[in-house]
Amino acid sequence: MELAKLEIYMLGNLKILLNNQPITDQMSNKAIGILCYLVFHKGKPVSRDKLASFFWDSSNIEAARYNLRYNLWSLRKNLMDDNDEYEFIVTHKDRCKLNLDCSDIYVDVFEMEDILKANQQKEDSNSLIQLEKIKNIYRGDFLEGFYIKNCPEWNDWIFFERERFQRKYFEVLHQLTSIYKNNEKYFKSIEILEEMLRCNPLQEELYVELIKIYLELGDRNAALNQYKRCCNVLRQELNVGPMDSTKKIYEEIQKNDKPHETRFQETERDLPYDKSVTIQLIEKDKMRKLIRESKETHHQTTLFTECYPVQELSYYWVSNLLREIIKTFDGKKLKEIPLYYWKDLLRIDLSVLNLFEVMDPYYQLTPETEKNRIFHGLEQLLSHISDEQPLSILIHEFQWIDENSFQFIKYFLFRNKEAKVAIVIAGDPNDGKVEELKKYFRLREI
Amino acid sequence: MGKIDLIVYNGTVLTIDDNNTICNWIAVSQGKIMDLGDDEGYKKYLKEANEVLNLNGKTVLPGFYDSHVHLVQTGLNMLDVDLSNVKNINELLGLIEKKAQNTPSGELIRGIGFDELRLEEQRMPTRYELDDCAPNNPVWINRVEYHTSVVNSLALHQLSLPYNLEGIVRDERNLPIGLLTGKASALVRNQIFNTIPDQTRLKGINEALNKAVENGITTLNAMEGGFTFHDKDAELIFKNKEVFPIDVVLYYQTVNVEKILNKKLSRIGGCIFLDGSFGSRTAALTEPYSDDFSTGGVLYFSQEDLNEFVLNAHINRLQVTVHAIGTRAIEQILNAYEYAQSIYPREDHRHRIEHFELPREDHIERAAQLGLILCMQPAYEYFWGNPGGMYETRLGPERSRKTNPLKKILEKGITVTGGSDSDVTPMNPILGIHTAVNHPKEEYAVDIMQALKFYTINGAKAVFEEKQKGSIEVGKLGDLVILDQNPLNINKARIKDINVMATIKEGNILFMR
Repeated sequence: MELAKLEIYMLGNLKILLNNQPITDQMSNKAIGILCYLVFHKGKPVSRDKLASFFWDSSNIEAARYNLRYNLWSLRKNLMDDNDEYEFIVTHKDRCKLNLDCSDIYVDVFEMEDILKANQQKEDSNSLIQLEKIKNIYRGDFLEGFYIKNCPEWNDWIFFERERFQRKYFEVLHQLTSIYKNNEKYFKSIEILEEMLRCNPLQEELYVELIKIYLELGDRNAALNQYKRCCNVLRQELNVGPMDSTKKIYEEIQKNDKPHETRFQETERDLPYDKSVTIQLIEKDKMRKLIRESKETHHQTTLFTECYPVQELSYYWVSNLLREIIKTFDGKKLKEIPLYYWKDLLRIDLSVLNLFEVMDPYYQLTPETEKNRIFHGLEQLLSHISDEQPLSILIHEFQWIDENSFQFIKYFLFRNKEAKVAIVIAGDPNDGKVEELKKYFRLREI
Repeated sequence: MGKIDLIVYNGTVLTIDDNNTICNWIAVSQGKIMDLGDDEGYKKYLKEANEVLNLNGKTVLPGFYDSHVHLVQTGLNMLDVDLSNVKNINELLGLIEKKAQNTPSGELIRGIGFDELRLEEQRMPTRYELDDCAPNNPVWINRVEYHTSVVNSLALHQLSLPYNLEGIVRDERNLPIGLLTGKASALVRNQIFNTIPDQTRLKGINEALNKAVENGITTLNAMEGGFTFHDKDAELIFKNKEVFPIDVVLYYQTVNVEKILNKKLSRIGGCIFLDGSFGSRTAALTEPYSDDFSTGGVLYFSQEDLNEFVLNAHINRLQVTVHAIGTRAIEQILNAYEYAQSIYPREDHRHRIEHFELPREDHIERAAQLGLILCMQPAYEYFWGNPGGMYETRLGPERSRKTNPLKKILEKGITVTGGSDSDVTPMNPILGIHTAVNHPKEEYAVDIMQALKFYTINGAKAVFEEKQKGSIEVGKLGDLVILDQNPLNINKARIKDINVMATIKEGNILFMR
C-alpha cells in the first residue's frame, strides 16, 4: 500500500499538501493552527484542554472543548486519503497527537533543524551545500501571514518560534558569507550580505563587510559607494553618522588613491569598453559606434536591441531579444538547452516555433509562475549561448524598456555576476531605471 | 471669454512693493497682474472681465507664503487618531476602539502625539491591550518625539521585523511586549510609512492644502523626507507638485546631494535635524535644561560630517537649509556655512537656517555676514513664549527671555521668512504675523509691515521667487489674499482676529468665505 503523503511548509506563507494537492483552503484557520501545533510536537500527545484554551476562550471550557472536537473532526476528514485507510490525527479522550507511525510527512522546519544538527558548523564543501540548502528552505518567516485574532497564546507561540527560526537563519547567512569570503567567492558573499541588509538595513557592520569585500576585489569605487550608502541609511533612519571605526576605513580608502589590481577574470573582448563590468551606460553616439564596430568583430557575439515608448507592453524587449537570438544563433546550438525552457519562452514569442515545429503555443502557466519560468528560461538560454564566446547585448533608448524586461535584466545581473554577458545601455542617464541599476550594480558610465 | 481673468476693486491693496504702495484695484489677466491703481482705472477693463469682485473696503495682500510646512505628515496626521490630550490608558483605548469601529478590517490605525508622561499611569499601552480594542486592525502608536512606538499583535505579526534588532522591548518570557525604541522603532516607522498608499497620502495632502488655502496661503515650502519622515513623502510631492492648487516648493530632507542633483532640484534640506526640540529637551544648549540638569540636549552631527555635507551641496550650487534650534546647533551650522564659503565663495546662495530659536548675539552678526535667510516660526512664541510657558519651564527665566529675537535680527539686515512648522503650529500666517507684532518679549516685537513681509515678499526671496511673487506688482502672479480688516489700522492686539475672506491663485478664486 502506498503511504499518504503530507507536506507542510511553515517557513514563509503556510502551504499544506496532501498527496501533492493543496488543502490549506479547505480548512478553517483554527483547524490549520491545531494541525501545525500537533505537527510541531512530532507525534507527542498534546492535552486537549491545552489545545482548547490555546484557540478558544478558556473561561467557557465546555464550549472550547466542543469547538476543538469539531475542528479535530474536520481536520481528520480533510486529512483522510482516498482509501480512508490512514489517519494522520489520533485522538484520545483527553489528548491527541499526530500519527507518525507509518506516514510520509515532510515538514520544512524539521528539515532545517535536521540539517543544522548534522552540519555541526563545519566549514567544508559539504557544509556549504547544507547551508545553502537551509537558505533555500527558509522561504520567509515562520508562519508568515498566518494570524488568528483573539488567540494571544497561539500568537505568542508563533512570535517565539518565528524568532527562533529567524535567528538560526541569520546565523546560517553569517556562516555562508564568511565561507564564501574565505573561499574568495566574493560575489556570492556580497549576495548574502545584500540579503541580510534587506532584512535589516540598519546593521552598520554589514556595510563594513561589503566595503572590505569590494576592496578585496580591488573595486575602490564600489567600496566608497557602500560607505556612502551606509551613511545615507544611518542618517535617514537614525539621524546618526557612522562609527569612528567605519570612518577610519573610509579615510584609509581615500588616502589610497591608487585602485587595487582588479581580481576579475578578463575575457577576450574587442569592444572599446571596460571588460570587468557586466553593465555599462554609454552615450547614444557611442552606441552607434559600437554597433558599427561589433559587425567587424569575430571574438564575440553582439545582439542589438532597441526600446520604444511602449513600456505598458509587457515583455516586449525580452521578445525582441529572443528574436535576435533566434536570428543570430545556429538552431542546433539553441536546441541544446532543455525543451521545457523553450516551452516557457514560447509564451512571450511565437518565433520559437521556427525552432520547434511541434510545440503547443497555448501551453498553460499560471500568472504567478509565468514570470519566474520565463526569466529562468531566458537566463539558461543566455548562459548557454555565451558559453563559448562572450556575448554583448546592446540596448538603445533604455528608458523605454518595459517593466517585466527591466526586472529580467536585474534578475539576470543579480544571479549572473560572473557571466560572459555584457549589457551595454544607452538612453536617459537620469531615468529612474538607470538610477535603480546604479543602486544595485556597478554601472560603469562611459 | 474675456481677456481679463479677474478684477478686484474698491478695497485697500497693500502691495508690499519696495515703496509699500497702497492702491485700491487690481486686474489679473492670464494668471498675472496686468494693471493696478488707486483711481477708477479698473472700469476700462470691466467689459472684458470674467470675474469682478467688489471688495467693499476689504484689504488685499499678496498671497501668503508659509515657508516651513511638513505637508505630507500634516495631512496624514489629520487622518490619524490624535492622542495628545488623553489622560489615561482607558481613554486612549477608547479612542482607538472608536477609530477601529470606523476603519475597514485590516487597515492600519495610526495614533499620534502620544506622551505617556501626561497619563495617570505614566506608561505606554501594551500590545495585548491594543489587541482587545482593535482585534481586526494593525495598530501603531507613535510617541510625540517619534523615537518610541507601540504596536498591537496584528501589527507585530505583519511587520517583517528582524528580531535581532536593538530596541524590541520584551517581557519576562522574552516575548516582545509591542514597545519599540531606537532602531526597532525607526525600522518599523519606515516600514509603516512605506506601506501607506499614495492615495492615502494624497487624501491627507488635499485636506492640509484646503486648510492652507483657507488661511490665505498660495505658496508653501514643503519640508519632506528623511529622518522621522519618509522619502516617499518627498517623492510624492516631487511627482505631483504641478497638480496642487497652490505652489508647493519641495525641500527634500536628505544629505544625499547626488540624489538631489539627479532630480535636478535646486535646494536641499529642511528639517535636517542638527539638534532636537526644547519640548523633548533635545535642542542643543550650552548649559543644561532648567527643569532637567542631567541634559543639555543633543547634537546629531559631528562638525566634520556637517561641514562635508554643506560643502558638497554648496559647491554643487544648491541652496541649503537645516534645522537648528539650540545655541550649539546654531553655532555648528554657522561654522559649516563659513567653512563652505571660505573654500568656495558664492554670491546670493540664500542658504537658510530653520527655526534659529536661541541664537547668541554673535550668531546673529555671523548670519548677517553670511547673507543667510532665517526661516522662523513666530507662532512658537504664541504657544510657548508667555510667562510660565514651555520656554520658561525648560530654559528658565533668563534664557527664555532670549528666544526668537526677531527685531534684533531685522536690525542686522537679515531677511526673515515666516513658517508654521505645521503641524507643530497651525498653518496660519495671520497668527504668525500677530505674534511677531505682539512678541511676548516686547523688545523683540517687530512692526506690522515687517511682519507682513515675513509671509509675503521675504517668503518669495527665501525661494528665489521674488521676481514672480511676494508683492502685488504688474507682471507678477495674481496670487492674492483678501482680509476682512486692514492689519495696518487694527489694534495690534486684535491682529489674530482678522479673517481671511478669500484666497486667489493666479486670478482663480480658490476660497471665499
